Amino acid sequence: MKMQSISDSKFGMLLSLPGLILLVLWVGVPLIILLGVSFLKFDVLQPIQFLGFDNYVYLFKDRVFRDALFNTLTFFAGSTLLTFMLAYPTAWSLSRIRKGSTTLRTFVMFPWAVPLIVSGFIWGWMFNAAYGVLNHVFVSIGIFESNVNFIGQSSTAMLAVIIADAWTRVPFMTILTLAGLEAISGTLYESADIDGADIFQKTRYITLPLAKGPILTGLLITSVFSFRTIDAIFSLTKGGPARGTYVLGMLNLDYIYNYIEFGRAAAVSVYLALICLLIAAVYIYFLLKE
Amino acid sequence: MTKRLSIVFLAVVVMLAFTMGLAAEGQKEAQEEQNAIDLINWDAPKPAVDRLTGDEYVLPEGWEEATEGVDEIFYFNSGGMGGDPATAKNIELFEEMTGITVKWAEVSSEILFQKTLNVLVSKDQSVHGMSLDSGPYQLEQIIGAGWAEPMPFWTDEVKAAYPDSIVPTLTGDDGKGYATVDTMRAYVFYYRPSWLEAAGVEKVPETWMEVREAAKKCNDWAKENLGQDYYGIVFPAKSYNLLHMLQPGIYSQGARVIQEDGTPNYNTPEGRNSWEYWTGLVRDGIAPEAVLGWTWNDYQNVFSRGKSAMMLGFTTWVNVCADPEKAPAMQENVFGEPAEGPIGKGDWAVVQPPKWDASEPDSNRSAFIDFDAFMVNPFAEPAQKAAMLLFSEFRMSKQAMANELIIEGNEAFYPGTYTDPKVQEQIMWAEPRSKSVATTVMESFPPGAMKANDVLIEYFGRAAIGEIDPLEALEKAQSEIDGIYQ
Repeated sequence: MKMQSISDSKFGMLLSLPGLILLVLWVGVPLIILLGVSFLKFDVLQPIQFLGFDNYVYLFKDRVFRDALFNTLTFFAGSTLLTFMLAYPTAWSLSRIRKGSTTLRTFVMFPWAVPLIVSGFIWGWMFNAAYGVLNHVFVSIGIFESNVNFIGQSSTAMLAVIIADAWTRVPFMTILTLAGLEAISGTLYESADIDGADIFQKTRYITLPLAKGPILTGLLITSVFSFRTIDAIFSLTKGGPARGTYVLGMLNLDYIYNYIEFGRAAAVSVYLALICLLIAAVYIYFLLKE
Repeated sequence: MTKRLSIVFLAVVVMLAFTMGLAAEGQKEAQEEQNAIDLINWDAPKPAVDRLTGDEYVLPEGWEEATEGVDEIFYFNSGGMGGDPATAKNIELFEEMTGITVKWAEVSSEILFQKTLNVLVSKDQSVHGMSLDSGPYQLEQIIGAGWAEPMPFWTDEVKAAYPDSIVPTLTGDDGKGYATVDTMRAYVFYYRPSWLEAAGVEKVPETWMEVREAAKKCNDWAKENLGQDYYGIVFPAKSYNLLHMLQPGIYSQGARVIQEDGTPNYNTPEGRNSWEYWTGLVRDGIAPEAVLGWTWNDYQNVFSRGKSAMMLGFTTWVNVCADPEKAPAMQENVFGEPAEGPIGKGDWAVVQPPKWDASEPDSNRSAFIDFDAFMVNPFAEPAQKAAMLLFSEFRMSKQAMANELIIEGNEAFYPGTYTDPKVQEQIMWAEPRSKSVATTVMESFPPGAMKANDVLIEYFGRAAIGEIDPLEALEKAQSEIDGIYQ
């Protein structure tokens, strides 16, 4: 029997078909339902009503939504920046260490294994104004005169949730950055040494340009995740004090589970999805630029 | 072509007929099982009220037929069972009586409502009952949505035997009962006698005005003699428990939050007094700013660790304070010496909640009463619903309530429990507790209450840290709350 030939491209498409179908079923269909619900008044007490864009307009005018959006942007920027600032030097150090590197790399991964919600509780105990270990240490060594209420004040609560969130994201970012750093040939640094380049110049002209791909990928994932996840905030401050750490994810959760207004919850989700897409587009643009 | 189309058409018709037949059969079976629930005669062998309020609970007639084939029921318990020894005891008793095994999932109160809502929205049949934290604020919406099974044992006589303040909250607009009480916690006022004495407070405060004076003295003394992390008074302002402080401030002046139109109004003269009082405690440094990050568990732990001179706390906390392992600091006075309190060991005592000022009658020594509701999943199989209804009924009986009171320190939903001498001799601080339960106030909040609470909590925090004037904050909060109910 004569076998019919098929091009690699077609064969590849055929192989990815099951995945594509699953993607449509698991992502596409729920997205369409979400979009549909966002146009409804759906509070289980009254009959479902079609509202058009009313939910979107309501949210746009709502003070709580605007405050939550601002807090979300602060949280996302703070968490991403802190994650990168901690992950980069860690990855750089790990790339230079030869003896015991496997053990050290394993240790670095530990926080990644901690669920974010647990991270929130851990940091909650450490930040506690009455019996937290951080206050004990800072007061003992004389940095603070008396205990500081990190999570009870708007000014420090956001910093506290950023730290709790970044702590679990650093390992992932470190590993991606490390992969990028290890792919750079050592001879480039040797040449730079001969030319008299200092560490900042080597970072600026060799490391960052050549490790850009993995770093941007890591930043993209970290950003999107910190934008949409609320676990650490939920367990640490529950959005308080005085809604100082109240982000869009918390608002979404409240609309679903506390206020039982599914239409508005869906509209918040659509806003969130659009902003995440925008962030992803910016990263992907820079990633594909060259 | 026509032949093929005819075959397809025929196949579709046969499939439709088959599916509809199955559905009809299913409905018929469900109907039959629904009728099986009706086999229970709640007023036999004696009226429901007598079965419930006797020393020993009596199962209603027909329960065995109604629950035929049910070996096990399953529910969401609020929190860990380790902290609910009375519930564990009552489960044991129910299992002995019926032979039906009761299983549970320990669901943290942080996520209990989310889990419950997931079950109800998805019409999940595997969970037959669930606790509902913050019943006063959420129950009306749950009942309105048709997400709670009617409880036929709530006859008029039974309703009359239980507290007037709570029964309406458990009742739907159609007059049927839809929930019962899982656990109930009244509030009493706790203080440390040695701390008050050391700070120069001459008598135990009886009014909120006196509490403020005493708390200030205790706070000032503690900062000089004990350390910066010792406070005059503590309270929770992170979650809806803040309302349990604001509301007593209002009730103690003889006013109420829910207005004639059924909506909450905090911006009344009494509401403004209470608002300024509680924000003032933080603004003036008598209570720490940390209260903004504390929920019910946190602030009561701060008290039982010996870090606060007083608090308005759950009656259940007497069991914690009396336990040397859970609250070692309470067994000593503020100078670290072993102490004898007014009742037994320990430097702590309990009185009824304060009234607003000396001009108010003692009947206004009122606080809020908090309860977790218990309801049956209306989407469960009828036989399992029947079994869960029996379990719910048993849990509100005098026998079960005595266990809640004695073993766990929860207040008794059935008031007659307190008058039983056998019970009285086994509980601590019986007098202030029963007085507190007698003067307690319960208001049922309309749908949207959780959103209103969040608005209040936010503005309270902003006012307490001095970001905004307290009365301006209350005005803005009330304006947003009014917007919710427009």
